[in-house]
Amino acid sequence: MRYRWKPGMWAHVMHRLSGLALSLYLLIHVIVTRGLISGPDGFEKSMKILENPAFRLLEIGLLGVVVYHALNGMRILIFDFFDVPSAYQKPIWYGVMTIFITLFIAGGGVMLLHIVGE
Amino acid sequence: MAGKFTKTNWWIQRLSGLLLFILLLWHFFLMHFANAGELTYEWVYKNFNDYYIFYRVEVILFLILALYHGLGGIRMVVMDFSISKGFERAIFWVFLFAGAVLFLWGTITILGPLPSPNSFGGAI
Repeated sequence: MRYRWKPGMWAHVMHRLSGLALSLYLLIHVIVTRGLISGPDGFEKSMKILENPAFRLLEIGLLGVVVYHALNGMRILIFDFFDVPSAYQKPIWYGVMTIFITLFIAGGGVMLLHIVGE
Repeated sequence: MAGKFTKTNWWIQRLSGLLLFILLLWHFFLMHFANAGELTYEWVYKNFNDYYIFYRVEVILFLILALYHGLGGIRMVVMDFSISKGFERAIFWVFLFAGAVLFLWGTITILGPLPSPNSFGGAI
């Protein structure tokens, strides 16, 4: 028995993966914020780690997962709460992907420029 | 308990998702337009004290909603691998406990007083 790797499957899997990534991010973020809030020294120490280019690249990844998860979530809300025929699932998902890629390239591009421009 | 929880949870996952989306837009506006500036401790200290509502309350709202939505989501994934009713009930309580701990930890961090920018000390 095999899964069919059609748009519907991609939509589902990407939503789950981005959701798991975001949950992991939340955990790290709570811990990091504790360091940042602990005073000027704690702030400096935490910022040193966060200004590392590796982390800044991960931030671009964060932008990607947040934007996809949010936009696809909107698609789920549309179908859960409004009487839209299922035939629209695929086109709306393509719409979601279009907006996602646009925002990701625009935002990620700006962020990349900032990282490289140092 | 599991039956009633699942029905309500379906609604809350979607509601929290929608609220998180709106909060995200607010967060983007707050970070990049209102009061935007270089990220220094002074900036954090000033905005978290002077604009209590916008910064600290926004963070707390984010924390509650994201913790619920995230843990609910992970629970959904774990449930797909469920082996028994006992397993499902155990997962429910473990996640509830984890969520409560993380929420308290985060809230106490954010609502507590911030050390003045001129103070020394403060470990990670």
